Amino acid sequence: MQGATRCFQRGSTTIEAVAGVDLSIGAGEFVALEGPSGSGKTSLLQLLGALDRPTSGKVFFDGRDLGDLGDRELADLRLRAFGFVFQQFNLIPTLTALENVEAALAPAKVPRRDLRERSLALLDEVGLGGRSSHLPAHLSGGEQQRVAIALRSSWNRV
Amino acid sequence: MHEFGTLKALGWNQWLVVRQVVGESLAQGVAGGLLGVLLGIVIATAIGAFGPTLTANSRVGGGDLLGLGDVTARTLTDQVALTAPDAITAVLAGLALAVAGGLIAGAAGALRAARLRPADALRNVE
Repeated sequence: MQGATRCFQRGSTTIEAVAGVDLSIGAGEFVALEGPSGSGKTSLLQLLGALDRPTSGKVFFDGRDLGDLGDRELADLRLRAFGFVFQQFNLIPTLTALENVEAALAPAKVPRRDLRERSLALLDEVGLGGRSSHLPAHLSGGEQQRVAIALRSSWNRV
Repeated sequence: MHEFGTLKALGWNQWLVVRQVVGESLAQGVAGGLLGVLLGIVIATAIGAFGPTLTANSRVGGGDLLGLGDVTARTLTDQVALTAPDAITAVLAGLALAVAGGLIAGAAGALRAARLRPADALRNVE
């Protein structure tokens, strides 16, 4: 990141969630971001993960300025290069655990006959193969988190 | 809207989101249209079977010449037996309207959802 700033307008008030951040994370590095609630951690992560665009400044990934990329290219990065496990899990409530994982693999154009098999394998890895037909509302918080991990880890399977 | 943010965070591009929403809207339009056609046929059949009749009276002539209006006036009574059209064109038109309505509403919502940045969609709390 180079001088990345993200501002939000709330009526007449401008909230600066990320203020001129310079950051460099190398391949293989493990970085933990900590701060009090409302300090801009989520906003920063959203900029890094191409979920949002900075109000000013630049965000690069693998040498490419994310600001120069269109929707398809950004979507492809999110599919193949980034994975998120959200604080609220963000599972789709009307889909079963299996269908949530399948939704994550859908953009990769996995053949239909392989889609179910690969999705079940991902759920098996997190110990939820037997709960694949359950809706998120019927899973415990921990189980929902494991489904979220399974479907976000699908990025390295395509 | 929040769900579209999740899908986009997973790597769904705008086109996939639009296709998903329009597909769902099309399915709902077809299902709603078929249900409406079925209901329409049932109601039309019931109207035809019971044949309720509407009656209307109208006063003709009379006037007020020499106070003899009431003597010369006549009352005409019209009766109309209610029927409901069951022509195939009406059925198809109804079905087409249902599907078209679903597609238009779905497309409008889909385009709006697809254009949102994932972060903005995720911030949309239902």
